Amino acid sequence: MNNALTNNAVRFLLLWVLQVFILQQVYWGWGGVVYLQVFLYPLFILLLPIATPRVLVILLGFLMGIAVDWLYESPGMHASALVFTAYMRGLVLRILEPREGYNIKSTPTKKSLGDTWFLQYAAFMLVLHLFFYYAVEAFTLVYFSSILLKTMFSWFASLFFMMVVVYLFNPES
Amino acid sequence: MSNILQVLTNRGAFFLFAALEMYCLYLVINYNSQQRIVADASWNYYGGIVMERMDNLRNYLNLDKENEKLRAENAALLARLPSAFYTETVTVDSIQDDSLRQRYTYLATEIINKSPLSANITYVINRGHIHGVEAHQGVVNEKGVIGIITKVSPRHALVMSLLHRDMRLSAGLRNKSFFGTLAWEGGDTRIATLSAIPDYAAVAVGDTVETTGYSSIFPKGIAIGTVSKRRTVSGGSNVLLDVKLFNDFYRLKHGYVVRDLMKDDIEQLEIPPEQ
Repeated sequence: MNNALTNNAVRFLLLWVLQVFILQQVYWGWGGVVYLQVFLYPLFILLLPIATPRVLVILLGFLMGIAVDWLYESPGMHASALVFTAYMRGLVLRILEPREGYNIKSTPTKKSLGDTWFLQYAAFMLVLHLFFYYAVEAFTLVYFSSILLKTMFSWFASLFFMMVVVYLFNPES
Repeated sequence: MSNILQVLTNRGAFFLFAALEMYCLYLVINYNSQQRIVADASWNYYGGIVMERMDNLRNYLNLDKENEKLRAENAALLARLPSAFYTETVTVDSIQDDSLRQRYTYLATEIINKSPLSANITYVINRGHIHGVEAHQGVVNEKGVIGIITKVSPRHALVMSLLHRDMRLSAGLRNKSFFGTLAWEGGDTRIATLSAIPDYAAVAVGDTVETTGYSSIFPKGIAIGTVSKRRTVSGGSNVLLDVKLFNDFYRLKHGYVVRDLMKDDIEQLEIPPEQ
């Protein structure tokens, strides 16, 4: 348990640093509109142990979101998206539950549940996160197609980066 | 027990989620200019719609009161029409202010009950003798004659409509000096009959029939209907005129009671009814 705590604390810090100091520079778009951003920080929420209470997941999501917002200078936007993603994590886990169920002490990683499962999991969570984020960014559903476009581009890029990181480090817990 | 706890923790997560989203929304709107602009515009737009709806609703709720007010205003205006005055210009040099004296007043009233759908229509109105309503006063509306008051209680009165077999009304042709008696012969509720018009009278279909003002029930010139048919009576020197009535007596909702302020003055001249 202590081990998991340290792991997640370190992961929080590393993902935050990676996001705000490096990935913030990565964006692409045209006509003055940014259509592609890389969001890696949701990985922190993805990799929390399955037994983590939902309330705690949401609180940590808010914490991570606010920390990212702090240097993105967009108070509330990442936080609201990540709180949403954290809230939906339970639902996504239930939908993707393997036939034999989860090992209650495990962590939803590539190593413990397999490549395909993790890809599905990450793809699902990222779609939710990105769509919510871009909806909050536009703050109206009038530009729905633009929101979808941004979500799609960013989803490919973020998923790619996320899988690279997961393959490189292959975290266990 | 553990089930209840589980439900509670699940709900707790939802409430935390909702609370944090609210807080984030607050941050987004307050510290991000782009979102703030959108929020302000939406607020104005939807606020405007809501306020418009509320205003419509309030107008609708006030409709009764507005109607009441308008009817009172109508009554006041009717009392200022030339036909409501008694000309007192006796000599050429009479004082202008005194030349017109109020003769008829109008009292706005609502029809609160109607006799069942049949011949001999009567109405109950919501004004009675504490409001100055008396028997043998006329009731009109903006289209024309409705009927005559027959019975009065303190707060209500009974109106005998034109469509009643006992109704007799002095009526004439507008701008022509012929006059006769208007009565309803039963049957079609849209048609009344004007009798005692001499057969040499040049009457055309479409001529307007109006009150004569010879009785003190109605002022002169209140419309009743238009001539729709001219019928000759065999062996008589008079013709009967079918009059298409302006009012739809099944749909009346309000009217004005006409009060002749000079009724007593005129009645002094008439032979008192035998005891």
